[in-house]
Amino acid sequence: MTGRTGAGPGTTASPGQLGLWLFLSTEVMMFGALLLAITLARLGRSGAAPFDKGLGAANTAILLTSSLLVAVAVERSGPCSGPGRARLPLVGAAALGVAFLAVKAVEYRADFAKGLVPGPDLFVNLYYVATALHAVHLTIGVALLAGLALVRPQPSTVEAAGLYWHFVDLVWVFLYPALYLVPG
Amino acid sequence: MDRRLKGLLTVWLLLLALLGATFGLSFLPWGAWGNAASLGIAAAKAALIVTVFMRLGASQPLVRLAAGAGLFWLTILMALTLADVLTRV
Repeated sequence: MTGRTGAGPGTTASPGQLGLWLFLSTEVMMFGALLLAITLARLGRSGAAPFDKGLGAANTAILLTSSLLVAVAVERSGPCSGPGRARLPLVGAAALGVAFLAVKAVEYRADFAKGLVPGPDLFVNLYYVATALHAVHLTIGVALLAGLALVRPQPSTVEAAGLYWHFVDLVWVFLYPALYLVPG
Repeated sequence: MDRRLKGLLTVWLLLLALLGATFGLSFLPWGAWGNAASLGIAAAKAALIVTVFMRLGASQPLVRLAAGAGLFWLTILMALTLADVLTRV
């Protein structure tokens, strides 16, 4: 990937980086269609969203912080850094991912207790589809970060896992207002 | 603390501030304007994450094109669908 027009040293992308961005673009289409469906379901109903926006905000803060740690891990995995310096931030980010899932589990429990179960309300159904699909992505991300913390990964591998993790964070940044912040 | 780390911390604080803003604004009786505000704040957060955390700003044009293609087609999906639904009489 060297010698591209206009690309000087240090600005070339690895094939892995380009491939990952292409993969993320397909993910944008999947979650984007889901967000569109949520938007349409919101137009068809009245009243504020029934979900706990405080817990949703807490989970947003958790994911934003995990993204910071992943960005630090990518920074520390560079060729100028000593070996193993990325490990601590990777473990921290994975732990925050687990914390996110724990909060989500508490939230699901509270939702069920309130009678917010999958059923005739399309918006509630989409809430479960979107948050569960996001949780699956997050679980994969936690496994990736924890796995990288155990080995001594190549900088490009940490960068690829980091891009995926930031994307999972990005999806939540949009799911949070779409699902939780519905004006009454 | 080196400059790059300081930059990451600044962006993280900005993201948390934006989260606080969107959470606080959601208690105001803005009606439909509340939607616009929360979507605008989400877009600002997304821009920060993509350009700084994901380093898209410093990426090669080909990578930016791949990322932009996703956004481009998403815009078409959203715009055409909502143009239909929101203008039905």
